[in-house]
Amino acid sequence: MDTATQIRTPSAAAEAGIYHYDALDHAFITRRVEAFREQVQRRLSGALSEDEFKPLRLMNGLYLQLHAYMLRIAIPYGTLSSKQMRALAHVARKYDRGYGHFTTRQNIQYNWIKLEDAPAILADLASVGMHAIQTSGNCIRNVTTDQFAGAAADEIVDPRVYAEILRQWSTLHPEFSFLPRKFKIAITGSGHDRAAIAVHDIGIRARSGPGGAVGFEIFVGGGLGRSPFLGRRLADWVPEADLLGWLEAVLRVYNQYGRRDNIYKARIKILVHEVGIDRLREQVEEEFARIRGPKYRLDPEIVETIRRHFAPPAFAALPAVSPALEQARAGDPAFARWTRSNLTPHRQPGYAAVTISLKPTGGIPGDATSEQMEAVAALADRYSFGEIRVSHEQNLVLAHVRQDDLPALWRELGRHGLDAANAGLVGDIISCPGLDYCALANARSIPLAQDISRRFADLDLQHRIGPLKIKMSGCINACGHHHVGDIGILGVDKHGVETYQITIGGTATEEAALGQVVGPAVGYDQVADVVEALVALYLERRGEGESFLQTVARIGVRPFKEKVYGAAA
Amino acid sequence: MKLFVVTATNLRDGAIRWLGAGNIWQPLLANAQPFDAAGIVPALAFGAAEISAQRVIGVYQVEVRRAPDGLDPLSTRERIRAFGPTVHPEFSYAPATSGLGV
Ligand code: SF4
Repeated sequence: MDTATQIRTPSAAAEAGIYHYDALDHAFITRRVEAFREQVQRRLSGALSEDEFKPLRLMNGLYLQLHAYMLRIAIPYGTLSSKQMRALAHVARKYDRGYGHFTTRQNIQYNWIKLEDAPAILADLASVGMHAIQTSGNCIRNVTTDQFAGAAADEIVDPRVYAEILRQWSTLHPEFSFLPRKFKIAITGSGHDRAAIAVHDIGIRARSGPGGAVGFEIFVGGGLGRSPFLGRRLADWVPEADLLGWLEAVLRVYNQYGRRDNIYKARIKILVHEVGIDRLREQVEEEFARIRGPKYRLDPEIVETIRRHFAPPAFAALPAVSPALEQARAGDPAFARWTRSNLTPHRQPGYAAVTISLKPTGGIPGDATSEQMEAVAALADRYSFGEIRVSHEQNLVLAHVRQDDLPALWRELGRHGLDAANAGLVGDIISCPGLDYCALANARSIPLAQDISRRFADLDLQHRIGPLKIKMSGCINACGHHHVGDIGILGVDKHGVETYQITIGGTATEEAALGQVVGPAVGYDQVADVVEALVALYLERRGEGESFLQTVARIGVRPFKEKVYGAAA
Repeated sequence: MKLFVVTATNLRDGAIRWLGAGNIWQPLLANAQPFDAAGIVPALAFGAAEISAQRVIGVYQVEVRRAPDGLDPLSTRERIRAFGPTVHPEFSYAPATSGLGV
């Protein structure tokens, strides 16, 4: 299949920034649901054994976790319509226990699913163009991107266009369905990287060149887990037309040379580490030269057609500063505080991008109830062109809100417990499900996140501390990105007892760095005290306007270690 | 003397099961039958037969102790599995015995 037939143009114009499936897509996912319905029936009747059925259920996002089946639904590049959000709320209410959990891969998971219900759930979701395909297995997973794509004032290229092209290219790609291991791609189009591209198998930075031509800087071999690596630069500038050819070449080289003999060495980061980035580049260039041609050339007309689907919504012409917003800020300190942490500057004068924090004090990071999902859907319809984003930091975003509407939006968010003024602050903790749900976990993460967030319940304190990211994983798989937190917390099993290794100084931005271990692992009951001590030292020692990372870089890890373990450390 | 129970996952709904008296699968650990090291062998064999009969999946043994409130798994993982997630008391299987600081 060549690129021209592989990448199809959208058929319907609708909400802002939503790619709508065409009849072919709908027919395909409906057929897929029916196939899975039959597979489940055969499993329940005993015609299929668990060994035979397991790969089939995983291909449809259905895992078996600690307490029940868990279903992971794909949210392509974290973007969904209000209608889709209502469908997610419906699934939570009808088939789960009234909750959904938004993940660091911009997807959603349900923790209490019955096998016998799974086909009906997928059928309900297929009716709104959603599915669970490629949310598991050794294939190319959901392509992730900046949650403020198409809205951020600092954006250079809208990454959604290319994320959608990559989604189509990678979906059921016959050659890449059985890779040595799972494969994650992230793309950003801004100077400031909010998509954590350095810690993905392939990280892409879309850039603008002479005459407005779009090209891509490509990084390869990033990843967290047992052996964390930051991506290495593979190419400075890949022209738009060659993007798919280049990625195809990278995946082919990985498919051929990636280690299938050892699951712990099977990710592309190990291949990059073992052969070196220069040799890998040679191999990719050789492969690209071999396959280069019309088959893999990205047709500018197709790009343009997809780009039109992400055209800006019908913004009103507004002054850059809203008097109504300024007045509300002056009159209500709580609202003013929320606007300081939860708004991101918008490229369109008079608008703002709003982060809806799913991290209330003492809450479960990333969890939303059915009622909250429906409330967000209604608010998206009213204030943000019916569109919602999921961030890899486990929050939701209304990307295009009039500044004039912010006071009303904030009040309504408050009615649903969605007005936490802590986006990017110490209470905005990334946490994986950990041992409370995950069958692979060593230790709990959610209750520790809740504990830490209660310690910092005072929002004025959080704002005084300033931006600070705590990231927590319940095992070395690092779903909670602990390696790249200002403060990272990793759950470790020590003879059946939960202990935690603490790191500091990590970041997933354009200055990506892996955190450094502070000292010996600590017990469950000590973690919140340790975090408080680390933050206290930062407040004592920081210079004017200095971030946590800058303070760690300036004074080193030792003072933090002494603060936690005593001067003899 | 070491004590064990047999656990599994119900195929149809994914719910946790414990092997109780008379080889009946029970939803709560409180109703599980404890076995010593010799007794667990035929119990696991029964579990294997139940897998073949496509009623349950993932049969394995869990070491437990007798606590004042009843049987109590030794590892944190198995305690969470037996008593429910510690972060949603309303989803707890047996709140009185969880003791995990909910
Ligand atoms: S990091 Fe480990 S415990 Fe957490 S969700 Fe991933 S696999 Fe599970």
